[in-house]
Amino acid sequence: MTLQAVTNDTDPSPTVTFSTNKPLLLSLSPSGGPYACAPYVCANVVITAIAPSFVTAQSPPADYNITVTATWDDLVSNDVQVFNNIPYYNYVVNEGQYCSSPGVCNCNSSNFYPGQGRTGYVTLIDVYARDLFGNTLVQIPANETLKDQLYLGSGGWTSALGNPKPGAWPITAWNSDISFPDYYFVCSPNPSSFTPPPTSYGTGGVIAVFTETQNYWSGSAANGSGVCTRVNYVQLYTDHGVQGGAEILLERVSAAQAISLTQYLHFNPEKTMTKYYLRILAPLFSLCLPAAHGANVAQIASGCDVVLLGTVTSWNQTAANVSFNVFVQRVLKGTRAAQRLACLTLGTCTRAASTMARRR
Amino acid sequence: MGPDGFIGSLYWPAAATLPAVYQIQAPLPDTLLFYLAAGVEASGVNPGTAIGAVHGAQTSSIQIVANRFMSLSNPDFQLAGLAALLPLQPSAISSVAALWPSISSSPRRFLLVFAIRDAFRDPAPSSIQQLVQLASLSPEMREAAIHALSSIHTKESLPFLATLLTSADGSERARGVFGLSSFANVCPAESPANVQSMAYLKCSKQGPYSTPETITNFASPGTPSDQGVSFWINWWNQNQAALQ
Repeated sequence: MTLQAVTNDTDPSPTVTFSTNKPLLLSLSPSGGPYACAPYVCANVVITAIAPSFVTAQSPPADYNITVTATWDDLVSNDVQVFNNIPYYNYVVNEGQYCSSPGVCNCNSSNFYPGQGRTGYVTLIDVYARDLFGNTLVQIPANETLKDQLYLGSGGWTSALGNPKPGAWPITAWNSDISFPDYYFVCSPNPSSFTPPPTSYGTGGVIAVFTETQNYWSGSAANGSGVCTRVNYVQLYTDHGVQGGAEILLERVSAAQAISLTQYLHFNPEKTMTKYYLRILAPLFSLCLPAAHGANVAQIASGCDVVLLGTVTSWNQTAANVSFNVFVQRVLKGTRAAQRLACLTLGTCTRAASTMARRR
Repeated sequence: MGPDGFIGSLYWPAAATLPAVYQIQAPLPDTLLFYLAAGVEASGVNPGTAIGAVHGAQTSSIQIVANRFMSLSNPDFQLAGLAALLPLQPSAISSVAALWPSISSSPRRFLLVFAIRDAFRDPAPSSIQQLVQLASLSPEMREAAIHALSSIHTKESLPFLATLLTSADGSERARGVFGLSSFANVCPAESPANVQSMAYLKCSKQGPYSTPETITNFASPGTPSDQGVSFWINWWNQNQAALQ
């Protein structure tokens, strides 16, 4: 975000400075070096949001509590008023048992361990992001950090099982425009080795076998970066997972410095243009970017060179790669050359069936 | 938490054979939507997968999918169809109350609740009346309806918004103040399109009810003070006869 000082002053080398009343919330720096001024126009000052205007929930309208002023020689401008909004909290919905299709649930869901005979459950939590005013935000990167991870300590429920790993939700991993999925699951190939044993969703006792503290972060897909927008505990039982005890976040202000908040910086237009020598140059940029999963039909239609209709007959997944066999039934988009190029890039193709591999 | 990677994130469900209602010539985005909707229906996966992907399809195609979902017996598909239909056909809001008993315990109900809370902004008096009635369905629907009504803040919504000023719930009082003051100061309706830009707070302040006092009492951040709430109670008492 930039501001530029413009005047009808004919001084060929004016002295121009910019200042703010909240230097801990907003930084001002010359664009490309010291303010280089010429008659009528002084070079841009780059405005960067550092922290939100407020750290508590707000009711509209916004209190533009940050001001920027310019001094052109001895002439002081009016205030440019600024508000730094922020992703403020996550609203979560426990969707209960996860099924990838009717009757295909829990560990047997297509996204987990289908056909591998594992016993246990998958609980789906949908997570929404809202701003300081309680308005829902659309597709911003998110991640989590997990700490205080503790197993029951007996009956096979020990740290030897390994702790759950933190997840990340770039916008390509969102469900839709406004939420991303978080899965709590226990899937064991040897359930009888545990006491109490894991069972499918909602069919066991209410015995907690694992607890942890979970922090959600908004604004970045790198674990621990961004703005901490929710802290809650997680409890994994033998037959389901829950979260609760969401806390008020006091670490939000310092955490905010880890991401660019400039996208949430807003000028009060009613207060910026009343005098003649300040103007806003850069528009706000959109949060929305094309996505693969969580995409819409327009993005797929325009962003993919080849769109195929077919059946995934088999697949294999590792930490770094996914490969799968597709029986192609119809080509919805893509020239023959484009299809061939895709197959050569991703794997091998036959006329009816294709093998593709993609690095994740 | 989750596995390191999901094969399922690389493709959408689809049906090899489309139901007759989808067998029409259409641009590629619409065709993709039809295959996706048919695939979701055939596999029974979350219908929100299809509804969340409709952007870019023609309105007529979205309506076809929404109506198809609403005709199915599965309440989750009905609510998803209704959520997709609301932006295109606001009169569909009248179907929410009748559907609610069958979906009120479904985890998927938030697809519809949030479609109302965050996106339904029809200012028609009939829609306002429907929203007011929805506010008594459940606490979560009440919060959604209040958010929508205060965001729309037309003249017809004011009697309900005025009742919020005496609510025991501070957040309801705040939405009441926001709605009344947004009306008086001629602010645009808040919608998904102007949340990030905060353009919904850029008010013309040139309406018949705009005064220096309404402007002053619009600029109070956070939970409104008792003084601010009192101002809007008095404002309503003075103006309701002319506004009703």
